[in-house]
Amino acid sequence: MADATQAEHKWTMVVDLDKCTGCQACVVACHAENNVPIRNKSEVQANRAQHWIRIERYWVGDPPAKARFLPMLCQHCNRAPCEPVCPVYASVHSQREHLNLQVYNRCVGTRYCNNNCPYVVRYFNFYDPYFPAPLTEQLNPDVTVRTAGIMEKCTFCIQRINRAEQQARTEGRDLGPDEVIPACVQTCPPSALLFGDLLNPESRVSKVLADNQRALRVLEHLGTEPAIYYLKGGKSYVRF
Amino acid sequence: MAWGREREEPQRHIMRISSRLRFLVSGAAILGLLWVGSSPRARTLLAVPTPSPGQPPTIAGVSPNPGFPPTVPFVPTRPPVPPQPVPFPHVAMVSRGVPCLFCHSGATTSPAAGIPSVYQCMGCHLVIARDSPLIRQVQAYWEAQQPIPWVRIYRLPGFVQFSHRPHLAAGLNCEACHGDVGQMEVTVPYPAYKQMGWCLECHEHQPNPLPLTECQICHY
Amino acid sequence: MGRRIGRRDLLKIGAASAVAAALGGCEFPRPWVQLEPYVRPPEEQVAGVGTWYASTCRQCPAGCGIIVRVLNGRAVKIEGNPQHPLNEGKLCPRGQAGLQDLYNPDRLQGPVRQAVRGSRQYQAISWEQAITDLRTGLAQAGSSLVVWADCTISGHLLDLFERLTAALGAPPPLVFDLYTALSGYAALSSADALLFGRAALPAYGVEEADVVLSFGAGFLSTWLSTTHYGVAFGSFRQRPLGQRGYLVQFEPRSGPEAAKADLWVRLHPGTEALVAQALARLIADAGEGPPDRVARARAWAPAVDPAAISAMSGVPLEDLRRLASTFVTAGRPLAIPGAALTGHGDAVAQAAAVQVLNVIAGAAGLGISSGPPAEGLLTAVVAPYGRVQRLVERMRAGQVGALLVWGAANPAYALPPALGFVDALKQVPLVVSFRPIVDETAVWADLVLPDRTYLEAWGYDVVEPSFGMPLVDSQQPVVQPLYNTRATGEVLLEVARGIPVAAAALPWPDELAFLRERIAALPAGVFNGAGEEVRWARFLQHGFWQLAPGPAALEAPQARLQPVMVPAPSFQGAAGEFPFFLYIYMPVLLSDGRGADKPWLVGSPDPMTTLMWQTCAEIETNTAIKLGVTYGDIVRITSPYGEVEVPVYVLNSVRPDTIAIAAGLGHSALGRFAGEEAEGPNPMALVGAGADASGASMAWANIRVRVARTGRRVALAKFEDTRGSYGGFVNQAFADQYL
Repeated sequence: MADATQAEHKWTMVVDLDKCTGCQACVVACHAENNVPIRNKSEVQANRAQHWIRIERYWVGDPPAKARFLPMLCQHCNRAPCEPVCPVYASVHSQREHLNLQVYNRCVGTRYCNNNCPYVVRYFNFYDPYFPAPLTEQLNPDVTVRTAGIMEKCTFCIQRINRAEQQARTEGRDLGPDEVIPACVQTCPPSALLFGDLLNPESRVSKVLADNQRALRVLEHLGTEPAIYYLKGGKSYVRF
Repeated sequence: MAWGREREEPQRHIMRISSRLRFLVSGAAILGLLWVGSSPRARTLLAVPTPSPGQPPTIAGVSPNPGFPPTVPFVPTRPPVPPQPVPFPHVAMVSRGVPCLFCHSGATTSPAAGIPSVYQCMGCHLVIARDSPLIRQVQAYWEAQQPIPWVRIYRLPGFVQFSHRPHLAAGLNCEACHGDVGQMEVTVPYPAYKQMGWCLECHEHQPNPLPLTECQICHY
Repeated sequence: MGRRIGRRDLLKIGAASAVAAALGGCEFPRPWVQLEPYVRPPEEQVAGVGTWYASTCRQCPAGCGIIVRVLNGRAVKIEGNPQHPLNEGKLCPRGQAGLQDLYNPDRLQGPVRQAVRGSRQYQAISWEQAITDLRTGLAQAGSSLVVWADCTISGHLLDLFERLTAALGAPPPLVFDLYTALSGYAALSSADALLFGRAALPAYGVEEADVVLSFGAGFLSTWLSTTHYGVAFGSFRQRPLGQRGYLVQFEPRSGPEAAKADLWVRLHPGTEALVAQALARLIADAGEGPPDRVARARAWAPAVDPAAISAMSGVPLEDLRRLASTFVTAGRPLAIPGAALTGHGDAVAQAAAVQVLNVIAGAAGLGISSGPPAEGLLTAVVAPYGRVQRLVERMRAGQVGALLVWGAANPAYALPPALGFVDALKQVPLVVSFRPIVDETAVWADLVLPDRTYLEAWGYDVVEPSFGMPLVDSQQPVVQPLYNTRATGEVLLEVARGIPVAAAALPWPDELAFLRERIAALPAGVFNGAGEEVRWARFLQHGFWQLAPGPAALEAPQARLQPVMVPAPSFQGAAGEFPFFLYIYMPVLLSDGRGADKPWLVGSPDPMTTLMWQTCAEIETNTAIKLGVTYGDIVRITSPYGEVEVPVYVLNSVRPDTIAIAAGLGHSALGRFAGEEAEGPNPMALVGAGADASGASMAWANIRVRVARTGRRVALAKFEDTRGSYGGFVNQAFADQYL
């Protein structure tokens, strides 16, 4: 179901853990771009906050422990555990884009997909979104606004991918190597997030991942084959 | 409403059969049906015809159609259209040679075809037919600098992201999806328009389609 | 709408991709909705396709360029301006949240008057009435007028205020707010004036440095320019030929900088500048490294005892020696003075002590902000805190006839209550706020004349610090103003017309005419054109003006040898009575509190604590055990000047003798999100009224506190441990392998 033979694009993200400063710019940009609701305090206290991308903070080492940041978002696994379990085919895989899709109008709210996801990156709308007027003016019309009962997750800004592909098709050309940029990648100040088509050798992610000793994937041993590569932190050449 | 009927007194000559005999008869009938159903001939009688590879499945009662114009039956479930603020007749414009894109100019460049602004209406109607009662209504909106509150006829559900531009770039006519609006007095919805199967049918039969086999093309 | 919104309605409202107005849908039976076209569309907009307008972000004084996607007259997304040299297309979270300033549901929709101060009962008035009232008040106040602006004020508005105050004989506008106060702007400027002869904010070339010693600077969260330093940090970590930059952070608490640092030195609060001096002394004594650096060190290093400083700061002497050696032998070393060291002692001397390290290193990596590129363009210069103290005294003495507060300055929230600002307001006959939303200062105002938010307003901003390239940002409205608000510049011009002495000083018909006149003075820039019209159009189109032929190297000024003496740290509060040190910091999302009214900022997780809608007191693990508190327990933190109640967050990355509290919450106004939903302390309640020895800064970083349990608890609204297992501890081997 998820073989690459017929795919046109293999969208891949590279996260440079050495550069991520945990500033949450990607989190806010994702909310703005994808109409992700902010949950109020009591909903958050009920463990129902929704942030499609989150910066996980781990404490490392003996006290005083230092923090390390790990941006975590839907890994768009090539063997996604969330796909086989959806009874209504709301969580499906795109063979052309190599993405894990969430079809909102199909979702009935089983929440089995979130249960199966080892990265816990799926978010269920337990409540209706609260956008008091005129905050509704800010909603992005290119993205559906989800109500209660629908599962959602990072889509790699599929609306931007589609828009770029439409533009390219209308102009009769191929997509440029770095033409598609999701919201989080676009705003990240230290450029810790990179995005591109791994099938295109000219794209930045292809060049960064070629022969990269630092590249690894999270929970790789589970066999989910995620589409996001993390470059683990480096050591300075300065000797101290 | 009564819980049930009172038991009628059964007619003797039929219900004289004992329960054991009833059991034996029904058991034999079931076994008989099973034996019949397992024979090869029964299989051809009872089974749903499986389509041969490459052919779409046939549905009893609906003849296969060439795909264009689409003919998926549609059962309307919406209440009737509320009246428009100005009963705008498309036929009046189209019969005088105004093309669709003159007013709905976004169709070739944007996901949305758009509705002409009051400014655009007045662009012609400041001089053309300015004394007609319908045009007077439009002028009243312009003088008040208020938008005309049209009732939206063609509207896909919120979870569908549709773009006009690639469809026009493929050479599609507006009438294919919107019906013969050019002949309409007041715009009425095109019946089959709102079903996904209707989009799929058309896409299947085009020479260079975007196969709508991937959900993310329209649903995101 | 009162009825519960069903699934279809919201999908209708949110996802219409055509010209849409679902607001009228209430009248029609579902699924019919109203469709409103434009009356008169803007020429450049196509329905359904976004148009991008360039402007400037005003969430902090840095001045990053932004482009805003406007779709059918609504602003739907802000991105960084890819052409802008400061942020290069990137944007920090506060910039991304700017739309929620524009579309905040608690914005004022027109001018209001408050008959009884503090009653929060506002009566809507007309603009004519508002301007008449303001004019009367200003005419009466005359030379006792005081204008208080915040650091994000547009240059042209500052200019208008200056002209008005000059015409009335009043003192020039005071620029002061919590953001610049807790970042130490005044002290940093003064330190540069002391050493280099020009008062300007320092600009550090982090992207070219290979060793950075950051003395508590929050340059990746909230300091000078988050986005620019974020971009620079990315380059810093990926220098050519595999040379990855080495960062050392000196801070008693772990913020994002300490998390990213290769070495985090958890030194005693208040000893940052002393450590810098010790390093200078050690460089001079050791004599290793390039001879010119050693020579400068010998000339500049003060006579301090590194061993004593090591004892005071808790940093082992051996570490200090190695740091000194690393610094002096590095190719392009850099020392950055932080915020906390400008909050106590002698702030200017302390900032200068760190700058001395840069002087020793040679000009590499050190820069100074360029001045305004053209005559007649103004930059907001942050006032020293001493001026604020004197102002409050004058207010209390009844010498201030009118106080106009512009922007997010919010002195009623920002200033320590010990200073008595709110009390002193009682003696001011007229208090006017221009903020688009009611904040704590507007609660005590007589008139609130809401300005337009920065996405609906005109202006210019001289970028400061400019990192070596003279830059002037442009600001233009990207949408039609939402409500019946007026640009404060327009209000001033209208008011001045009725005051004879001011009318001569402000003769322009509207603020746009004034703005264009100022901008016309710019010399030839990168985006040039024949004629003023074309140059104005390019100024707006690109979002900024940059000096041609292009950015120069960072100017390395000549330093004048100055004796810089840093006193030993002294704390407010007796050690016996107040056993802990208070460490106030500005979190990246909330900054100084101006982010609290935006759900995207206050409802997103803090990087270190992952709390949303809350801030807490960070207490070290063993200290918490001794105090008998754990996560979520509410404690009372008392300083010599006040007390706050705050939930506890236990972590072992803060010093055991330090309590860290984030600024930004504790609002009693500023809309529903900040005032009602969010809960957290305002740590300024713990700060005293005093200034540092130089008078440049508030003395906010040397407060001692004590902690007491209240017995109450609150559920922490955190994100960690609610999704998988993140938030926990991993050992070093795991981190080396996977992180």
